[in-house]
Amino acid sequence: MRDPAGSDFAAVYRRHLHSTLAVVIALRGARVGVEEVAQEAFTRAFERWDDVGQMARPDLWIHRVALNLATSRLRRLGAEARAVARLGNRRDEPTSAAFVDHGPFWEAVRQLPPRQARVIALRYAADLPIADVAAVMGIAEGTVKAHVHAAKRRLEELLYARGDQRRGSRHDHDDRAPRTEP
Amino acid sequence: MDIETRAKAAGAAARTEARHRAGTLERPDVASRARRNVRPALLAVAGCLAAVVVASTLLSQPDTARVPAIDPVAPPAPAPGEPLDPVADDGVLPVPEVGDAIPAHLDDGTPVFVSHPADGEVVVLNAVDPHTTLGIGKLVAYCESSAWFEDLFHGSRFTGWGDWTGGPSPTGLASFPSELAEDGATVQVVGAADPAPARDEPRGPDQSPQGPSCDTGDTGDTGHAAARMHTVPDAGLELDGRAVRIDRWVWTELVVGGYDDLLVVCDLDGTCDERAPTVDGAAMAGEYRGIDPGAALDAGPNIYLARSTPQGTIDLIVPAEPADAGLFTAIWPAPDKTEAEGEVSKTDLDVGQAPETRAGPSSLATRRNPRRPRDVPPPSPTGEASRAASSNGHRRLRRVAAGRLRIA
Repeated sequence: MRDPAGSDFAAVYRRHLHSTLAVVIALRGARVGVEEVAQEAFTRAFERWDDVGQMARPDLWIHRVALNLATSRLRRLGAEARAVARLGNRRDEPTSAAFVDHGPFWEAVRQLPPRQARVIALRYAADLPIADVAAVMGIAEGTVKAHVHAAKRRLEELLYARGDQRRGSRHDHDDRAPRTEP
Repeated sequence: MDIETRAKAAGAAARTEARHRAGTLERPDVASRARRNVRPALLAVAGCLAAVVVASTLLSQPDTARVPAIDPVAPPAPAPGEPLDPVADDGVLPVPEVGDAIPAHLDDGTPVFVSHPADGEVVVLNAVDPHTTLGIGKLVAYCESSAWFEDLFHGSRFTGWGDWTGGPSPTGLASFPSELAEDGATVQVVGAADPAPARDEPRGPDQSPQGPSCDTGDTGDTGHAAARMHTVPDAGLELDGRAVRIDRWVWTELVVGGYDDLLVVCDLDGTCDERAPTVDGAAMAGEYRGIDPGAALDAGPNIYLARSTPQGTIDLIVPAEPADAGLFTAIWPAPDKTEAEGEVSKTDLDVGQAPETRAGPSSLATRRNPRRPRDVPPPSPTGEASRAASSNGHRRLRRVAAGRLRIA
């Protein structure tokens, strides 16, 4: 097997580690263990580099794996739990002031439906164009746009209209008659 | 600040945070790969699986070639237009509109429905049908036309509250205790599943079907347009080279592994020993994606999906020097009818200290159990399950409470 260590894997790692990790941080918060989740995605890519390296956009494959790892508790458990055990004295807190300032935004994102949250994270934390977000998510570009639109509307509610929140989306949708009978 | 500007700024902040944190990471290289591969781990499989797996559930054998299934350039088509089911975060799930129900998953992957049968009444129901066939579980679907939950294989029906209204299911659907958020937009699951309600002890009011049933009598057919069903969490996104078919059979997600150098010996259910029809390495490989009997198993967290409810024992080998304590998780549907009270066994395996006796490679012997006719009911699970560690150095998992298994 060829040794990919010196090949373009290094370049992909260098160029995309930050954006991949940013997505994980966006979806998981600045927690202990997020680095390991991103690392795991790259490790998997490395292990399969003979195949992944052939892809037109290995970075999107890595994004997809990282996204799965970040959003599936089952998959996250191992890498993150290991890190938490190892780094148990570290606290879940941001290391940059910038992220502290924008914490509320990502907290709101995490309240979105999972797909919307993923789209927002890929679009803004990884700074991917819509087409790439669609490729990572495996959905149509139009669907991505719809998710982005819906997510932004909801984020506006969450971030700017907290006073109205108690009225809640549930009641806004009560136009359909309850199907239940007494 | 408009939301677009704010999103861009927040994205930049996330990347800044990432740059700060990335310093601790090392680029994977050949040396680190070697470290991963040398983990002493191995799966010995003593397992007994349901040999009587319904043949049609074994549609595809695992593709052992380690080819990534994910190709972002040409991604496999997901269920058309369907988003993945919501997965709970700390038990919090979205609430559907009144009169509706949505498939979702708890944090650990347990498939549930969030049902909103009447204004302000939200129930989180275990989607696993209490009725099983040959020990194989299945999920109910939510039928939009009838506004009932229906087992499209065998016709059990349940109201929006999960109460039994007909069919072979012995009980209603089990529910999880939950608390509705003040704004009504989310509901939080706050505990393990309550026992499934008896047929004649409904939780909710009588509820007539709102329209035609989704059950057209085509058992096994997945083409029920009006039936809302679960997708497997992250279906098709596994990396082991096989597209996951989405259907209503219970998929078992088993996480094997945890900390490096520590694997456990699991006997997932004592009762299964008694029922185990055969132990066949090939069958095991057929059941579990990515597990080749006797092949090296990465000690890192691996997820294996089984198409049917596994029955039997999975032995992993405890390496000579367990390094650390850790948490293991397995999600395991009720393995046989005697326990199939609509409950998915969620097991948090607290791995204790290193065992007194340690299993080295020599203790790989798999345990096999005498064939037992399938029509003989297995002994009580509680009695069987309380057996403690076996003497061959394998640690066994002991069922200490419903849905929990602990290493003995």
